[in-house]
Amino acid sequence: MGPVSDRSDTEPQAAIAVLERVVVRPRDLESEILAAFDEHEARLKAFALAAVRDGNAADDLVQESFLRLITEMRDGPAPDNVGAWLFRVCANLIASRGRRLSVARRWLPRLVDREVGRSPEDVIVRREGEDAVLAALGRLAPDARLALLLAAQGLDSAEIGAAIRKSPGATRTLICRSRARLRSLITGDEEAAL
Amino acid sequence: MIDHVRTRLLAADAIDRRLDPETDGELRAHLVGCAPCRSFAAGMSSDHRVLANLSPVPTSPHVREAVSRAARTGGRTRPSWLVLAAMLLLVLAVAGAGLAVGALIRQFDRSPDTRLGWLAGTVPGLEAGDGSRIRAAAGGPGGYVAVGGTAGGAAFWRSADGMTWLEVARPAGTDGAELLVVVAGGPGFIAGGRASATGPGLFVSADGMAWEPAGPPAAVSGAGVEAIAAGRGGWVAVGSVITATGAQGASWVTLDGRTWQRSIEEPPGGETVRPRLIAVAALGTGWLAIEGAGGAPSDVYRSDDGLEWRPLSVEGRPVSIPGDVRALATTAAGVLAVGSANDGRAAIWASPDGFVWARQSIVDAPRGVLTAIDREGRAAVGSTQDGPILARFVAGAWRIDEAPGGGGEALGYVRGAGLELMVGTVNGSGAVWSGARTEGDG
Repeated sequence: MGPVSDRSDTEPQAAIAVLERVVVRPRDLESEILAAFDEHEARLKAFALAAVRDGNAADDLVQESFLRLITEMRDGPAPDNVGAWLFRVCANLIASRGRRLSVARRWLPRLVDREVGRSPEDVIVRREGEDAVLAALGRLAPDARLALLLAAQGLDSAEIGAAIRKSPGATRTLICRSRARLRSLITGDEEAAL
Repeated sequence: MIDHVRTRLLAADAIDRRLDPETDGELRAHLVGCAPCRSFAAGMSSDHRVLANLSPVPTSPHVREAVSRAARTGGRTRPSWLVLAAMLLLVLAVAGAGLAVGALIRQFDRSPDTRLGWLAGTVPGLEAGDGSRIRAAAGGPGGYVAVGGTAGGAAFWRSADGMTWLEVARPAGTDGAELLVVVAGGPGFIAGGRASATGPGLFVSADGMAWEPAGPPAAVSGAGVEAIAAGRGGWVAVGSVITATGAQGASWVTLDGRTWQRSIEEPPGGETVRPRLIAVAALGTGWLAIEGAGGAPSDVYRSDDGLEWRPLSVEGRPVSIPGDVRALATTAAGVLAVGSANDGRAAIWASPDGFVWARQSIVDAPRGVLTAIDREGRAAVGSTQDGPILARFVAGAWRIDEAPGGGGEALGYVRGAGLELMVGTVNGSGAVWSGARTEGDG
């Protein structure tokens, strides 16, 4: 069968499929959300946990991110890249949470060195190398921590800057310096920190 | 030739961005001849890969349930204006006709000036002046649980949405008892309170509907549990227990929520003073608790295992908080304590480790007391002589926020998915208020 016949067969079917998806079939929001949840929740939790270093808070951030996704999808189509969308929303939530906790954060450096132990989550899932990176990450300032995590998720400086309220240029500088600082903390060569 | 510092910054920049050819050439030239910078650059790339591929960490089961529930309702955690209008019309119609509708709107009758943002929940079975109290609430598997006491004894309530509540059957041996605390965790929920005589004082439930005493009986009989805290790998409960020589301080620990170990009972004539602790919080390693001396100051205790407690001291002087502390919460930055200060105002103190406490500023702090704080230290509730108060940590400061009107006192608080709950008493009877969490909520 030639190409013309092919097109005449498939185009109506494709059009019908689109119509069914958009108009005819009632949308099962719960199934769509739960499918997205099952696909992304554990990675999102790992991301949030690395940023806030509190399991309960990370759970709340994941939950809130998905509640925002529900609101987004309730009145419109799903984001093009649900995973990336969730990471961005979660990052914004972390950043705004960080601003609210700015006063309490003054105590953080003192706490980190003394008391933070290993949660069951740490024991079960974290690899040795990951442990070292996460421990050093926890010693960075919250903005630097979030910037590195978002950069690792593939966000560019403008997107990261929007989350931490810095210009793209300042964000790029922060990322570069934070990468070097992180490495220095891991190797113990803090004097070489930039 | 670029120096080491610039090389490392450029190497950091090159991880996820293409440098211009000239700069890239300079970077490569330096790396070829500098082993330390080469190793440093490789390490930064490795760190980046680790952060990009963090090991997945599953969320707690209740998160999926909450998301599923929200998806079923289309994410509408706040009643639409149509629903609110319908509710208002219903109340007006009933009031106009002079009909008694009993429990359905009883709580609305009780709090006629409930402000927008807080709605009084319906709690069938409670009547004004019946002496009931709802002391604490928690969100967990499938919804919310509240605990307290009625004239009959310990009481458990369950709600799927935080608005409509159902009292569920209480276990045997709880006549005359009162529950003071409930937390989500372990098998689902853990509740504790003041047992009657030899009845149990700690309870567990998978779903908030069916409750049973925790075990073993010898550990939980006669328990007077004032507070429970979750830590890394377990829970600790603190309070007191009735012994042959009278009441003495006690604490309990569990790894799974079901099986508890009680601290050693001090024999008659024993020399060890076992403090009667009324608040507890987890530290990174160990536990922090407050002795309930019935007023200020509040002495601070520390324990490594949750069973043996020692007073904290600095240079030989005991550490105490200059106020009447009622509850503790662990935050990312340390521990928060809430209560009332010596000046009679609602107060919050913060400490990174329990040794040093700093009173936090509360904008327009009223005369009153804060009695409970949410598990992450973002909101605290209590009461003044005029009624419940709510303090939130917003924009870097603690502020008094809008609380339900209508008098009464708030004794417990919990944040859920798009929802927050306050529990307490109004007109001598248990009460629940629910409010939609807004964008700016701490």
